[in-house]
Amino acid sequence: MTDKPVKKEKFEDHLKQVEEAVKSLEGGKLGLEESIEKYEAGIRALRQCYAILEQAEKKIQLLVKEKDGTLAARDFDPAAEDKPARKKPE
Amino acid sequence: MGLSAEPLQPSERKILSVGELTRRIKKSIEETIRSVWVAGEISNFRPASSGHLYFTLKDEESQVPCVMWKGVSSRLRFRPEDGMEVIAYGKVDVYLPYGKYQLIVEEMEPRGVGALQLRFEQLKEKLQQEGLFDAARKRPLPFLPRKIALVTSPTGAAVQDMLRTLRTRCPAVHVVVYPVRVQGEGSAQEIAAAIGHLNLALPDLDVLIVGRGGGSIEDLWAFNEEVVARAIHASRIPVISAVGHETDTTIADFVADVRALTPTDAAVKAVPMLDDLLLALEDQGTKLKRALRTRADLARSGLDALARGHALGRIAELPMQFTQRLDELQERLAVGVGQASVYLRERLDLLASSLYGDLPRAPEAARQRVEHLTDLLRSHTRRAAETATARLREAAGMLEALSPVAILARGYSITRLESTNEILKTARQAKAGDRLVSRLGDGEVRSRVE
Repeated sequence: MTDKPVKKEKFEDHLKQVEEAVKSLEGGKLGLEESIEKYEAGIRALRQCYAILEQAEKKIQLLVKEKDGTLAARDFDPAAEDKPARKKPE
Repeated sequence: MGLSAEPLQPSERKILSVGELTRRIKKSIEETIRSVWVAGEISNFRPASSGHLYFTLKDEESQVPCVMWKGVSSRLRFRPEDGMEVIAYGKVDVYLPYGKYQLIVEEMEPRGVGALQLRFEQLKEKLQQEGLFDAARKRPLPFLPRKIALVTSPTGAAVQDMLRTLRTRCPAVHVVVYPVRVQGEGSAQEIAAAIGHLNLALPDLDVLIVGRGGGSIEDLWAFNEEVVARAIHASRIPVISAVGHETDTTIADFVADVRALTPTDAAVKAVPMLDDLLLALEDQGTKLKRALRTRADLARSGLDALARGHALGRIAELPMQFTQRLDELQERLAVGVGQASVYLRERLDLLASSLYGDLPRAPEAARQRVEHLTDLLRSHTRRAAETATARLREAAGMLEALSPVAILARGYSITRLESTNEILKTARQAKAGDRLVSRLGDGEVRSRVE
């Protein structure tokens, strides 16, 4: 808890920006030029949200401890993992 | 069957010293009893500053003094107290100087079904006092984690439940499984080591789920061990505990940042529903575009008002100068509307193209929605320009109805003398032989007066 966690772009931060853009646009107090700028900022943040979802690694892996203490990862299928154990008693 | 007892001869008397007697008793006891398990209630419990523990074990019939040396007492997994039912294992030892015997206790555990519960309560109290359960140190989970580690057994229902739930709710997350034994000797140490290892090796993890499926209190015991509690407490990565069923509560649950009732519940708590998220994004996108459209409509209606106020109003006032005015206005209005709509359209095209550039990755539905909205927005701009032009055309039509050209179109004509270009207003102006030019709605007719 002492050292700073790795700084990552947060989905919720971008979503908040989109919501803010919507809010100030809906407020109707901006000039046309400002409105368009807000709109573009909102769209940019929205695209970031989609990008984060898109870039997420959609993987399931099993970690394996190497002799030097590092962790290696291989694809993991829990169903397959269970099969040998289940088949043995048959 | 005589009752008489012959007195022993002094020569036959076997006389023992007190020491000899005590030694014989000691020997006899040590040979016959050696190590035993004894069940009893603790009384007169006296911990010494040396670390040795002195107490008495008793039951309804009798009592036996006990001692537990420091080396043994430091390994005890509970705190002995007066009145506590225990099972003690040890050797009976006779203390020669006093001729007393005592039990040297080498192992001791609380007795009966309450034994584990007692250990649980005692550890819970201890850690609570240390502040390991403080609500203030509990961290919120990230809204959308990108990488999650499961510290659990790689086989069995729990890991499958978790993975299935994670996948169903939010496939856009990277899940790693750190395999550990979750019950039996050494499992607590393994779990604790895994938590520590993940903190060091994979600092980019957003959430740890530590848990296992249901089982007996003994099966779940690893999650009640101090070493696991300490590891969870030390974790920099937020931890969700997921042990057993709803009714099972472990020490791990108290220390964890978030307690899940079951492994499936842990997965539910760890990730949002991707579908909900996409709907929310779509909704925000729609609102964004709707708001901009409203703003653009506002700008256009301002433009229309300008056109009405400045142009059409005056046209009605100045019928005589219609042609020129109309030409002027038409030009001005065309430029005005044209500029505004061209400007807007350019911006929209730009937005649309930049949207199209990146949105194909978004789900098809969301993309279609955006396309639709963009089209809508464009047609609105175009329509506004068309409306303004149509209104102008209408106004122009009204004005033209009053113009001589329009009167000519209804069958009248204007006739001039070709020589002087004078308009013939009376028949007297024309003499025989004069050449005339008559202007009709769609052209001229030349003629000669006879």
